[in-house]
Amino acid sequence: MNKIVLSVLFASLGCLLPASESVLEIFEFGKPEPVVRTALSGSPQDFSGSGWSCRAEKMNGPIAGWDLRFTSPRHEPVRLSVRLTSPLGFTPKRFWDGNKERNAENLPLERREFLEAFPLASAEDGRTGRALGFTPDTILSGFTRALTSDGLVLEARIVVDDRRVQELGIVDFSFDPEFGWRNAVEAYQTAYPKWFEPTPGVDPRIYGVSGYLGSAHLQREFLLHSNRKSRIEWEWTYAPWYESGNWYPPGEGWQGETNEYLSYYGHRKGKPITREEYHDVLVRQMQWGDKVAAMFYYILVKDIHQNVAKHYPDAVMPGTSGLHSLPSNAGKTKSAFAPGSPLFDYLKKQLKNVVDHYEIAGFSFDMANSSYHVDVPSQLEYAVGRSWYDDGKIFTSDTVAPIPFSDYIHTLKRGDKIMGTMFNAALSDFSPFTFFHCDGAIMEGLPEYNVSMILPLRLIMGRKPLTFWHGNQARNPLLHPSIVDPEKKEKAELGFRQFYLLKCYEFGINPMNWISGGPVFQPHLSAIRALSEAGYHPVPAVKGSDPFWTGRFGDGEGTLLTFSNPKRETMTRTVRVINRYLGSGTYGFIPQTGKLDQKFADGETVFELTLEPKEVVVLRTVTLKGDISELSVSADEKSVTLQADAPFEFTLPSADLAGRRIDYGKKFISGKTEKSVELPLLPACGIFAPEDAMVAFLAPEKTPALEAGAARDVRIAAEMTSLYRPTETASLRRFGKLNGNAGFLDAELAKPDLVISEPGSTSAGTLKICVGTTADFPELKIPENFPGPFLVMPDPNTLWIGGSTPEQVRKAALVYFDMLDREWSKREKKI
Amino acid sequence: MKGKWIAALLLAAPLVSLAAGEGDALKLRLIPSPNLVRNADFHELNEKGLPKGWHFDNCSRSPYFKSEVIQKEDGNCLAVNTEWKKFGYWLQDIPVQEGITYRAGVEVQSDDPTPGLWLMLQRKPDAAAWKGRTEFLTFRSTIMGDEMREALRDFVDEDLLVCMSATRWLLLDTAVPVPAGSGISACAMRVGIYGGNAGQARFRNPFFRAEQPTLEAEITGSGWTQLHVAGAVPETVKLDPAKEQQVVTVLLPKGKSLYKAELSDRECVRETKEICHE
Repeated sequence: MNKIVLSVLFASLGCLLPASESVLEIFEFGKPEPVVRTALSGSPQDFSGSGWSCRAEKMNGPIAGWDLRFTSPRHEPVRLSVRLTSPLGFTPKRFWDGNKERNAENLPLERREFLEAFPLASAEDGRTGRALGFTPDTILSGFTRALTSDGLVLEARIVVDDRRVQELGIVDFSFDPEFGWRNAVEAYQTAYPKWFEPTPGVDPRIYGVSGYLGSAHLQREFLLHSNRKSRIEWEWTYAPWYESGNWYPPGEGWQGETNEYLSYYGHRKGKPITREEYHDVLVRQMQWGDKVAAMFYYILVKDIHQNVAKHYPDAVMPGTSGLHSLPSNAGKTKSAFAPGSPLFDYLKKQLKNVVDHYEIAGFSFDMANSSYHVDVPSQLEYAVGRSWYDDGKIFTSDTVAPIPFSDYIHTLKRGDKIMGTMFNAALSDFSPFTFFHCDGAIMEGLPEYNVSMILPLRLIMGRKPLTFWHGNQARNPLLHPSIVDPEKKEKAELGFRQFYLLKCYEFGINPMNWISGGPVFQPHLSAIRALSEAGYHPVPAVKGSDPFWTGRFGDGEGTLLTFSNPKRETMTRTVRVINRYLGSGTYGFIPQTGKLDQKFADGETVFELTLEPKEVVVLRTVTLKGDISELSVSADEKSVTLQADAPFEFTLPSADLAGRRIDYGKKFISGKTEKSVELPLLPACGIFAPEDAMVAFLAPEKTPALEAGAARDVRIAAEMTSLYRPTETASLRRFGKLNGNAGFLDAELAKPDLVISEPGSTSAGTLKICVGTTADFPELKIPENFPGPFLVMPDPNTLWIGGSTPEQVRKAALVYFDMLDREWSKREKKI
Repeated sequence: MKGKWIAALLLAAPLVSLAAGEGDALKLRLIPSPNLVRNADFHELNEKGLPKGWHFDNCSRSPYFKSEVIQKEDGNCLAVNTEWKKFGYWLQDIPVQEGITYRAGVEVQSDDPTPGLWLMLQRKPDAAAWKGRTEFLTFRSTIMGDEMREALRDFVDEDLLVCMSATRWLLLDTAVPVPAGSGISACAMRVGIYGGNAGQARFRNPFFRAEQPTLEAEITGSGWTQLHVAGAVPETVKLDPAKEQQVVTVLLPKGKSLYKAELSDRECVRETKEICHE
């Protein structure tokens, strides 16, 4: 607060500085008056003080800003406070501090906390907006932002010495606040696109559901089926090491004869094993896991076991750390700041070895949010993002530590696959500068656990995938303990689940596998994944929809809009979509089912939406050319029909949200019509034989031959076929019903009961299941030359699980297993 | 929310009669175990205006902790001001007996820090080795506060939620079992700041008491032969049919919230009443 007063003071001192130019002030520690106070002109400017110098240059980029480079010839650190004031030139009505919007009637307004907020502040009056913030490549341990009578103010404490150049990138730009502060964030994300997308080459399964596979190495084969319903696509491979820091367990740092492997016998049922056994277990865990989900190898980069930490005292905080993950590590981990220490080199070698030896897609960082400040020597030496307390003591936020680890991991590859990083934002205190460096993140809880963190985390992540990391539980801890009435409890739990689901649609956030397989979420998984992959936009481009929750994802013809009704009453709204935000065309919208009448005028698409309480709709986009003013779009399981009041050209996605397609060979379909066109949909899987005849192939007494092609997805589909009966038998024995928890299934049964052979290896007339593409089985014919996944019986003794591509074969297999599930569910409690 | 508050109110006011219903022969009242917390109302203050019988355990060694007792019409509360992510508690050692399960609690409000209740059992110096749970922690962050309540407004009825607030009191409580043979003789009860953001948290009505309350039954009129309370100890009490007025007591075990008291004469149950406690 003192600094704001000071700023106001300068303004009143007459200020010979032009009011329209941003003003830079630099304070040295212990000196109340600024050493530098100058308007930034646009030409390079040089400043200096006691043992430091600074060059300020205007940034050349899509949005205006300043690049400040601080250097010092001295090894002794210099503590500076850097303040930038950006005048507004208008009377602000609202101030957004990166997390919350506030009325700007009474100034100053300030946000001191840099955590849980986008690193930008904005002020606007409805017609003009101004934004000030730090660029995503900047790294800081804290900063404040404010709106004063002088304008927007940004202030950060930094440390300058000869160890490293300190760079502060500052964005300082005007914007049209048609959607308030959201326009400023959209402009920021557009200016720095790479920070809001996953690193190119990272496993694309990060866009899907995530969670724990929940099995041990002995039951890994069961994974193939036990996780089908949850649709898990990437795994948080919890603590696959015996001590933190020795992340490549069989390698450097191995302790003693044996060490415990956490989940040897089942989920978290450990066994001490030798170095060689440990390696074999990890190979198996990752290899089988990868067939189901991208493996993100779990690490703690800030909590290192004392057996490692003791060799690097300059990087280690006193006492024990709060996080150990393994019971055996409790009380034995140390809070460490590895960057700036040889410890970092040790840990990098561990990471490299993990990548070299195990089938992983990257690493998951637990607790990448902030817990403490670090003042050990390594942080001083690392010299990135250092700050200082009022008494001058230098520290670095622990949020800086994950950054160099993530950057290093992005340089590692397995084959062509770039290693990715998934960060845990926990439930509070995440730094934007940390999360700009990861490829995806989790919020470790239900959305209601911290409703105020969802939006800032979504904004910081941009188009990167996000997961609500929690799910089905016996009782929501927010539900009052006195509520024991089952009906009341169930009603409340349904409310929590609906809130969860609607937040997924609003922000394109995936649910976790603990809940994704359940009846509330399962029908929505394809749509939510599509949103996740299309990517969230801060500006909804939609007006008139309030109080519906609205989300916009993707661009142009790939745009998806979501609307949900969070209220307790049915509501109708006339919605206007501002087309220019989507792209340069005219856009109409396609419901998943039903009819949507739309009008076009003044660059807007207007339609009426009526939603029942908690109802959600997702609209796909059709790009239009032509002089039309009205369009009616109807869709169902069979077709999409477009009807307009004039001739038009159209482009729309080939696939709907359930996987049905207009054309399996194209992503988008274009055409031209006088007024109306009906586009038939092909099913997501062509089924050309009776279900009971197909499931009979895997009746208990049958042992069909199993022929399969060689492609990876085909092989996995074949392995799943050969393991279907053992998995479900184990499940029925253990639970009395089909249950997808492989961690507790009988490992003795985890053996395929069919032998996979090459196509054509079985004699004619043998009962057989063929798994493969049309190229694998050229002699077999598909009805209607169906171009997608299919299930067909070319003759009474042959079932073909097939498709044109290996991916299609795997999809067809999933449809077949659903059929088998229906049949096997009848056996519940009979085995 | 209501149920919890009712229970707390009843425990704090043991003389309130719980008898309800049509009959007049049976009146019930809960007699809670005594509160073992000394100066639980924060009325006794030292020369610095801070509560006697308590001392501050500054775990974070933070110079920013500042406490004061705020006097209000509905009773005193203890306010603690803090900075970001600091841990510090007002501490009182409470003697306990083996074989008893206690319940500890405190009512809290918070502007932004996370209020916590942390209980640590302490063994006698000469106690034999014993492995069991010795720490009990309960806390509630303000991130599950009024903003959450508002966000969930159209999804979950407000009175079904547990919610931290700057203006409403929330009970943080937990059971504290002291097993027989554990050698435990005391419990360090800490009420204070468990991290969270800068600001003030407030505490009132701390309690630590044996979890088994006594149920007192006053029976009026002659001819009554027995009182049966399923789950109580003892479950059945024989009555003297000749007496016009008699009072009997039973212990209510922990973990059950609803009891049915049945008053019988020689033929059958004539009067039934229910009593609820947590």
